[in-house]
Amino acid sequence: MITDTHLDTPSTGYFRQREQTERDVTSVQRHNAMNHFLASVEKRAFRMADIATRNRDDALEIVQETMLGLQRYIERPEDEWRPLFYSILQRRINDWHRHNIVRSKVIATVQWLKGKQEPADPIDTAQAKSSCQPLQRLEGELSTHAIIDALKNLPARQQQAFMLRGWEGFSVKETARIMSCSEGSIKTHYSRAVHSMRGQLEAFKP
Amino acid sequence: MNEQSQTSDQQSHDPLLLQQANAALDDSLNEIDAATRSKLNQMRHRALEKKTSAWQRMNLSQWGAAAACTLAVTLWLGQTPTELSNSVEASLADTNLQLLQEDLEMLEDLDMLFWLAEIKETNDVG
Repeated sequence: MITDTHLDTPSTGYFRQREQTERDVTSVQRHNAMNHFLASVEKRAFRMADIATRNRDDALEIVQETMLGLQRYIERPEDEWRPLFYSILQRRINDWHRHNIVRSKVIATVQWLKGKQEPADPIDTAQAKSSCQPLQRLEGELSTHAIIDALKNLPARQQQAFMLRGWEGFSVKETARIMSCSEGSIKTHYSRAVHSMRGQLEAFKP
Repeated sequence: MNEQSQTSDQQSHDPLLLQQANAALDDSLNEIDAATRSKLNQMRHRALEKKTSAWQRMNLSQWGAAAACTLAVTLWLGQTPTELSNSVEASLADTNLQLLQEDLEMLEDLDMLFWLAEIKETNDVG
């Protein structure tokens, strides 16, 4: 009967060691590739999350969770990382919106129960946050801030569709997968986003 | 329906707006302050330091099977009779909730992974 110990000759030991070394080299290469990939998308992801949340810390947290979420797929082919990354990012942003709605409702209820003050009108808050100023027009060209503010004023799904389709260059099909909705919905969200952006920025054109 | 989508496509075709928006978004990346950049850098290294566990290295079919099993266990535990002590039940519920959450996340990712595999297959055949 042949046992493992009989098979463990110096030559098999060499091959095992070699396999292990190859595995280590591949692992280091994948680690480096993932590092390079994350470095290439982290600022864009942060900007997306920042536009969605209007809060730096929340945006950073979303990006961190997205990075940790993608890290699970370090062994997957590299061409899958980008759609996966944005898919996780969009889910985290959606989760943030859901939590935020619940949090706002709880705060409003607590304030109402305390009878200290009326719950804040969300429309008033949204108007206060909008900071488009005529000074943002620069010699016939729309300033970065005016455009970013116009983007911030879009509803969440329109924002996502616009940035994924327009900025990231994903196809309708890819965007639909990333946002987990139909291609028809993506076309509608995107079209409405463009229409709304055009309307908002009209005031800043010379 | 087709006409509607064509009209919406035409309405959404505004190359100048898109160009300006993309330029603004690209410019805004340069405006990210040093502290935020440093934080992003730290976060990336932290994410990469996290070891990949064995279940995370499984292939698609293994994942599907594992997710199905965990969901089945989760559903079964949902019907556990009352003889379990309260503390055990509470800790099981916590673990369950965590597992369920991880499974749901995994299932959502799986959907994307299967789609990517499908695309690859189609491209290979084509």
